[in-house]
Amino acid sequence: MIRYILRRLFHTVFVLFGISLIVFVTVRLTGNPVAAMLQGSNPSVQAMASLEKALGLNQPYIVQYWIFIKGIATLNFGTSFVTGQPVLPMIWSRLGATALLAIGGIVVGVLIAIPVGILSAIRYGTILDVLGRGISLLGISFPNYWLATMLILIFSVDLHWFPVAGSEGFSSLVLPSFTLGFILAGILARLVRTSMLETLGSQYIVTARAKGLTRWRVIIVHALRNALLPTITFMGIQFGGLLGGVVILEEVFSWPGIGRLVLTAVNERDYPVVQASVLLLSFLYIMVNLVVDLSYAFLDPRIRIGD
Amino acid sequence: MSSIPEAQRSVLSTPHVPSRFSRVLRNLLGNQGGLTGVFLVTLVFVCAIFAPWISPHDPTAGNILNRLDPPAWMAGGNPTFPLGTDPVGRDLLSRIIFGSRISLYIGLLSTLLSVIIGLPAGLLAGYFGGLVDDVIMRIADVFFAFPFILFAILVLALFGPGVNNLVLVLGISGWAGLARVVRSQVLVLKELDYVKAASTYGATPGGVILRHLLPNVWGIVLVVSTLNIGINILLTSALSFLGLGLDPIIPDWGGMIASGQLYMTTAWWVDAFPGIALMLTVLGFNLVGDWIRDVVDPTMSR
Amino acid sequence: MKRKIWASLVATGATVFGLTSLAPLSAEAQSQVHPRFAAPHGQLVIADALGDPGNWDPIATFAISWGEIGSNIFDGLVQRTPEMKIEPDLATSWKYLTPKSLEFTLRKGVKFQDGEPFDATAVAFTFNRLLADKSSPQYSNYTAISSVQIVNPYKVVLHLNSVDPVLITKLAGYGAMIVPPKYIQLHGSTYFGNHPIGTGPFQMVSYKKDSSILLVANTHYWAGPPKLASVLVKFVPDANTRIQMMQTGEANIIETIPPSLTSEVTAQSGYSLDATGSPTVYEIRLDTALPPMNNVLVRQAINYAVDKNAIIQKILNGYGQPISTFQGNLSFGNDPAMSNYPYDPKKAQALLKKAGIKPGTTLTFDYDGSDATFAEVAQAAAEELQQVGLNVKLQPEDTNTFYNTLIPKEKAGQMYEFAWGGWTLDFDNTAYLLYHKGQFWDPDFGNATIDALLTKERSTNDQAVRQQAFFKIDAILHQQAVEVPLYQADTIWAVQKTVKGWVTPPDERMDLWGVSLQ
Repeated sequence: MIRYILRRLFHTVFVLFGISLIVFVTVRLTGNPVAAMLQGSNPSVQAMASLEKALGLNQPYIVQYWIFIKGIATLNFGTSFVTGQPVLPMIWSRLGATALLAIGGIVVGVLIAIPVGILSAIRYGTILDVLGRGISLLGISFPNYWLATMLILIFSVDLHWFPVAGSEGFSSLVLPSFTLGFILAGILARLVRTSMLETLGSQYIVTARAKGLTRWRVIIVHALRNALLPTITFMGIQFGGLLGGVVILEEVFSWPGIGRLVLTAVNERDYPVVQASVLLLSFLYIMVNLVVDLSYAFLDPRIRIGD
Repeated sequence: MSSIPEAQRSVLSTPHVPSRFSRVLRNLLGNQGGLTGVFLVTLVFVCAIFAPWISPHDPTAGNILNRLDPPAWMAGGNPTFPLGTDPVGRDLLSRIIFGSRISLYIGLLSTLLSVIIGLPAGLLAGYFGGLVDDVIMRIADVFFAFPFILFAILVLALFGPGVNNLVLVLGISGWAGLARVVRSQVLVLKELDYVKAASTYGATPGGVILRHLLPNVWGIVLVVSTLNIGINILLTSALSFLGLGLDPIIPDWGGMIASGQLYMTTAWWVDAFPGIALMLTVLGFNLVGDWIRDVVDPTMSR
Repeated sequence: MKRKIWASLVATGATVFGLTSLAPLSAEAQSQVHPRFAAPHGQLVIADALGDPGNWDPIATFAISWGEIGSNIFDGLVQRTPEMKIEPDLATSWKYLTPKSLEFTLRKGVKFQDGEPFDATAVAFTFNRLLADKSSPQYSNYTAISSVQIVNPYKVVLHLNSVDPVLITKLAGYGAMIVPPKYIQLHGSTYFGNHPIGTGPFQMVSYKKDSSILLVANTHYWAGPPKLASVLVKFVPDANTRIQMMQTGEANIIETIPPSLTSEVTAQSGYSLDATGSPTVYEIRLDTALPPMNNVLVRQAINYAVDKNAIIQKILNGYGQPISTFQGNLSFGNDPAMSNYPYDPKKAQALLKKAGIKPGTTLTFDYDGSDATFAEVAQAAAEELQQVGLNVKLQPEDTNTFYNTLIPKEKAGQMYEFAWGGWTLDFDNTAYLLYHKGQFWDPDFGNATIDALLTKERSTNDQAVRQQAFFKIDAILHQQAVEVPLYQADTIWAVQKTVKGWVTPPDERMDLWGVSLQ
């Protein structure tokens, strides 16, 4: 096991190296930050050229890449071209906000998905099953911003329960969490349903019923507990992806998260910010992944890992 | 956004054994979910195939003097336009009917592309393990970890906007998830006695993969793919929202939904109707996918 | 049991589908503001559309998002009023000693918000700091200045490398905002960027990145303390969200309302819609190097075929002004006597026929895909061109790629969107960068007469001579039909009626000093 983990960590270095190379090249291939920095000033060719030179963008790619890699090795991710501020603090302050949103979303998603998934499973194949899943699919059938705006209209504009936007306190976390929860619920409910169906059909459930346990007790205590294992594993995977995947929600709710930072940085081609945030998010993602892969092995002894 | 493909990796399940077509049909008649799904999917395909005959207007022609007419039954509605008009004055119903063409094209083709790359990758990684597994899955990690938006901007900026480039973006960003699901399935299958036996008695790796593994991963590939069809159509909308959409003259559901974003409160029909069309399509494909899976999986047969 | 499950499911279904059906009602239902999430008494809340500039150092940015707030924290030597007049600010008077040296007399008794005194040293420090930082986006705008000479604590002379007729205007710009020398030397520029100190009427006391800033009144402001105790600016990038903050009363002032949402403001009691002409102009630029756009008849035909007024009335809901060349009516160089091509599809068809263009010829039309309003303008224009027999293929592009790669490399198609904020309100900058041969925007375009006229207007401070040169350029551009000037977009804000003394700024630079809350 230890050997396996070490090997995977060793691989991570290669993956991160690959990502650093790809992000470095792609962000440069598709534009440069100079025009975004001079946005609003209607710059001349001369002004753009001199700024490009001052930022070191006229140096060969290999030199720029070396500077970037050398920086990473010393944990110095450099300074944003557009804001002139050090990159790392810019990312940290947003990472926390997004993590909070992701946790809220997962909690809501689970609270919706489990009842719907159970109902779908025990009423398998009926119109109830279809309806339940139709509802849970709503979250992935309508765009995030549509769902978000609808929730704001109802719970902020009409009912005045929560503020429209902002990031002050618990009340402003509720609506974004619900929107994200809806989106997750569709996929989660499907997973709960499938796992429930599998466990409900399995031998020991049949035995439990035969022992005279009530139907609901079997469903809640035995079947659900087993169904939750793959669901939790799945959420682990989702969490990594969520960190980079809530851009539009953050826009609509004015949530100061990492998604907005990355989107803005990509749009402005703010190389240092794009490079650092992509690398950092990838690292987080790979770490979560590693944990998930290890948990596969714990959950299902038939899967061997390592050599 | 980029979180969605991860969903594909979710399906951790028990092995499948091959099934027969007749059982599938018999099951369908007794399964309301499956029936609903087949009905919805058929409906969408009928719309796509017969669009020129069933849509009342030219979906690309409009007049800004007719812009944002409400649906016919509402005050100020015009009976010529049953579901109202869009911000440029085009008939919404006709655009939804014609939109099924491009949306299906994008959804199906991009998903197919993910399968074409992801299925062999997952099979090889799972079967051979070791270095092959490491290399393939680390490449998959790179694709997973790379932000979808940046990838989309790159491809669309380098190759220009357009339907096929969009298919390319969506297809390529989806393969890694599929590969992971297939791989984890293969890891389980590989340990089954009859697969082990086949290898022992001299079957070539190609033979084992084609004869024993491939038939047993189809179910899971279908489940993941049917979910992906809808997700990919919806991602077109997210990309339009971020300014990376298609020619707005030619109707596609994703682009239509995005174009209604500024009218959600003043002209709700602009994105509500294409949204409902998309929802029913996603639901349809999901129901069909789940139903096939349920039939294929013996632990679920009733 | 079965019944219960049914009931709960139906209830869930009804709730969720209720989202779809309720939403349209909600827009009409609300009429009064709910106090629950309103601001504390005496605090003005602004829903900001332009986003967080990320650094409050005046030389770190060129973004309008900085200027709209930064101009309340900092002062320059001169200032530009909302009416676009240049007025004294930290300098009480100025005069050209020679065409290349400019003397300023400074205001006495002014202090920075931290108590540091303002004098000639601060002016010299400000410009020396700017001119030493070549990686500042502001740098190239002030390279006309060669050195700053301190005559006495309240008199400085700017020595120039070259004549710059718009230098005075630029001194009201961000880069020339006066900064505190001791504070910056003590804390460093990074700290200064997060905790800015200036001489302006408001001091920034809290800054949450991408979320909000809190400004409090500088009671020692040289022109008298501002009337507001504090101002909370929230960064709200989504237009729908900003409108909803108006509907709940969470914000007193809402920045940038898209034309499609103006009816929401007029329906809201307690708020008024404030529209004012901005220096931002929109056009369809024609790539004169690509056939058939190399034919002046085709270009004129396209100008006749597009109904500019219908676009302004229908898509912009009337919130725009017609233009005749690529500049607003406030721009120095705009010829008020000139008018744009009228809408005349018959004439367009005749011109196309004369040019030998076959009906059904396809033209590509690229635009910035993130601009939802222009997407509609482009579709309307495409429809009109279809009427005269031209097919149009619309291509929404990624913003950065569009402006930084496609346009400068002449790869944006035969027609493309072009939007431009003429921030100096002087046609010089626009005309030079767009029409002079070899410039970044449309490098292929060149016209010897225009080049000569530009050189002429650049070498003099005589405004009458410059204006005549611009009028001649206007006439050539119109006759050559190198573009389809569309409109000057209005800046539209929503302002609560309890807010007094507010002037919606055409250039988005808010002036909060005289504003009060009832």
